[in-house]
Amino acid sequence: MTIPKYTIFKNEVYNQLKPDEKTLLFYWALIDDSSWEEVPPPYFPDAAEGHAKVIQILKKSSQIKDIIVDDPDYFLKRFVQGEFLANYLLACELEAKLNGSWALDIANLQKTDPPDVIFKKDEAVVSLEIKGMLSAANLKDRIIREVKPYLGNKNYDNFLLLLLFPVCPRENPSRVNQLIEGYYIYEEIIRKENSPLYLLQQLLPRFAYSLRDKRRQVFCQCFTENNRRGSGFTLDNLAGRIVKNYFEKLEIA
Amino acid sequence: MNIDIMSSDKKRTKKTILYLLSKLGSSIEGKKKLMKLMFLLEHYDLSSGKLTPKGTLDNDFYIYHFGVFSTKVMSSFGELVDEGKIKEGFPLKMIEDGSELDLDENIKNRVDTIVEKFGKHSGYQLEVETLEMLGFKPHEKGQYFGQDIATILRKTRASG
Repeated sequence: MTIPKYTIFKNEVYNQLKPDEKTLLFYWALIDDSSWEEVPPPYFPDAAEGHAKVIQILKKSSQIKDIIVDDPDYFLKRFVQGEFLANYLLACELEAKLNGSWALDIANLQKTDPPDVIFKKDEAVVSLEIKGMLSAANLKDRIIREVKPYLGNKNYDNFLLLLLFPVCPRENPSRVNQLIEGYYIYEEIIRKENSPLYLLQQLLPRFAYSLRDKRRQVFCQCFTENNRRGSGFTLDNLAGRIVKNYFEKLEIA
Repeated sequence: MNIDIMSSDKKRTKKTILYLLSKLGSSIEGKKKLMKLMFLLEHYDLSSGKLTPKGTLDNDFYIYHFGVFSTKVMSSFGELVDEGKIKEGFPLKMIEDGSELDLDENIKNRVDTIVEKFGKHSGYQLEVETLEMLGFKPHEKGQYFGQDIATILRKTRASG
């Protein structure tokens, strides 16, 4: 099965989305139902209902509709839950907010290799990696095993790791958002230990955090299926934070 | 290997899950650990200590977000929950004892050996170990996302 092209998704789905639909799509794109063991059963979101809504929205595109009809189960597994949808939505939202100042690497976006999303400006490259999860179980080990091996690559000098937590029904989003704010713990993993100046940094605190270290950051945020209470746990809010607190503050050597 | 072991049967998968959980006792944990142990039961060759494309219960596994995963095993597990034989949660709770189930002795023996060898490992440890047995590291799993295990193993064998 083919994966829908980004430009088709952007023109035929994203550009037609209402804010509520965008919030719903991103929420379900972050949920992998194979990982629900950390969530008590009464809190499980209704995946069948959620996925039905997602498919209905994506069928706005006739080309994507054809792909869905061809093999709905595989489409759900590969495109919706297989990171493409989350990456495409984040890329669309950032493109809109960056207003052409950075160029999206579309070829990278349509591949499965990390990083998930790349933006370029002249010689500078910014890489973003999304980790959608329902709990922080084994998260430190996962970052060490799954993210750290890539940090030697020059594309990761300007790197933003996004730890995104969809909130289950009956949970309090504000409370969850407070609990998941562990960016400082995870930034330690992607910063110092990978710097060639690591030993020096240990000995001389004033050298702690090189310029490259500062350009490696972690953002945490929780997400709700809808934004009816105006809590702002949405893609729009996340992309705004990324542009304001990362792209606009980026000091490139 | 006994021919009976090779045949596909959801009923047998469900009995195997119950038997496996009963054997794990206090080391049950959650669905992730169950899934990884069902994978080892399917593809781990006890004599060589390596994975083999030949399956035991004919449950297809593929690479997903958290490593090896089988929709068939998950579906069988879901039915056991619906039937009230297992209670969801962490750890899972056995409602019906599976130790005395009518299950092929060869499968029981395989389960016993798998539990003896891997039963004390956590779900996350098993996630990493099973990926490494397949010949790649956790950060490389994205390259294999959605690919079925038998194909990966055949390719690994051909290239090895």
